[in-house]
Amino acid sequence: MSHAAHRFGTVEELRSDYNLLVKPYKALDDVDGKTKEEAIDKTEAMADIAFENGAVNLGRRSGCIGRGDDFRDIMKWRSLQGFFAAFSDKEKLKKVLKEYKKRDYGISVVAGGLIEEIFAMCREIGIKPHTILYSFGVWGRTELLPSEDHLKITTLCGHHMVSPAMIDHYVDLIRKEKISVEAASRKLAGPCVCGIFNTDRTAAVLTRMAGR
Amino acid sequence: MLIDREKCIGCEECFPYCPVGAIRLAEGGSVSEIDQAECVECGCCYKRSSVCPVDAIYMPKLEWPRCLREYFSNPDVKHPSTTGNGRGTEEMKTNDVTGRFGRGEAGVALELGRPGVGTAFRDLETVAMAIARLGVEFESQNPVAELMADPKTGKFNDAVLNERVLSAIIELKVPVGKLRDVLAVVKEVATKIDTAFSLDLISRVDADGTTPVVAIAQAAGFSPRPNTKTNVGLGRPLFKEA
Repeated sequence: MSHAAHRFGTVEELRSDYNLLVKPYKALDDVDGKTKEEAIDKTEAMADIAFENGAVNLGRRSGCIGRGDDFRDIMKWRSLQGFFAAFSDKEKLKKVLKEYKKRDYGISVVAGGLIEEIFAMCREIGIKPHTILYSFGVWGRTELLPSEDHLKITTLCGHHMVSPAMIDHYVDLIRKEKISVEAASRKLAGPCVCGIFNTDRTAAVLTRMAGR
Repeated sequence: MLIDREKCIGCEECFPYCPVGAIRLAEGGSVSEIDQAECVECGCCYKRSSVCPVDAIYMPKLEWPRCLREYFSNPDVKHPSTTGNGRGTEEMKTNDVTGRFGRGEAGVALELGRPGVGTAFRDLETVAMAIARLGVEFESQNPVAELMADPKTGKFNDAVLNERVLSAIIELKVPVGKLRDVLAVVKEVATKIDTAFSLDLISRVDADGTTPVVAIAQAAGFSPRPNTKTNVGLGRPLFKEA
């Protein structure tokens, strides 16, 4: 997830790409069962709020809605893993954070996106950002990186489960009108099971790459 | 990952799924094979995609140190040393609860192999040994830590040096006053490795919404990207502020 801060794109493109991580403290696994169960219940309630407020993707290791898995099935897994979500509209993320603050779950929440926008929404809601992870770019043999357009999609999955070749494969199929841009976006979300992959942004980049 | 030559029909359907481009047609062109030196055992061509129409792709039992490839490259697999998934730690994700990064401290993470280039542990050793000369301590909860034969010098176990993974993270925490020295080393060592890496800095947010690390990094020649991830402080602390 540290790579959630490294999503490539212009400032304008990033204005429609936000992500959310709800993460109970790992060591809760080692405390009493009641506390653990309460943390899991809260996580599930927080996932409901993100889902109901229009997350474009939401998931965890049990699946993600971006590739077509059922939200209820994803959340059946009783785990302290927390969940990830992606939003294309900052107002939707703001509503989610506002609701979390109101309900005071006490679970850690990490919001990814343009720093100016995240801080502005925190100010509006009345919460104080606690800790930041900054990206200071890519160093070393940067000539090994794929194109900027490829990176705009591959970096939507922090674990790099979406390969540049897979993007080229679907761009080719879109050009040949064998698959729609939206369906190709869902296919690309497939390997990134955690739910942080923004299918809306992917569709926009694929559209441009395919010259549509 | 391996391909059963008896089953494979050479359809090439699996080729695009490999993040490191390790699948190709074998000599003769009728079946496919996976370059074992390049394969990082991430599972993208296997269960993650289930792309093979004849189930020719399979995962053999991975012995040490090859199993490290899977631990670091397949997010569904737990690291035995940390019992956690993923390549790093909870770093700042739960910092409002744990207080892991305090005021006056900076977290530094060099994510070698990211984005999507892949890396060998040999490059991690190069970076770790350069940074270790500053007398810093590496994060012991990061799964890279157990691969170091000597955490004081950053020397890795020789047996792991040629293993390739999608990415692995050199992670440390330093007093803010030491950050400039660390970044100078980072800049220098970036020219000595055979991969790319993403650089992260972590900091507590001051009351006025600023952090001390940005100015230090900028003075050292590093510019922050406009997007970050922010722990918004909704967790209930289990610690007392120093």
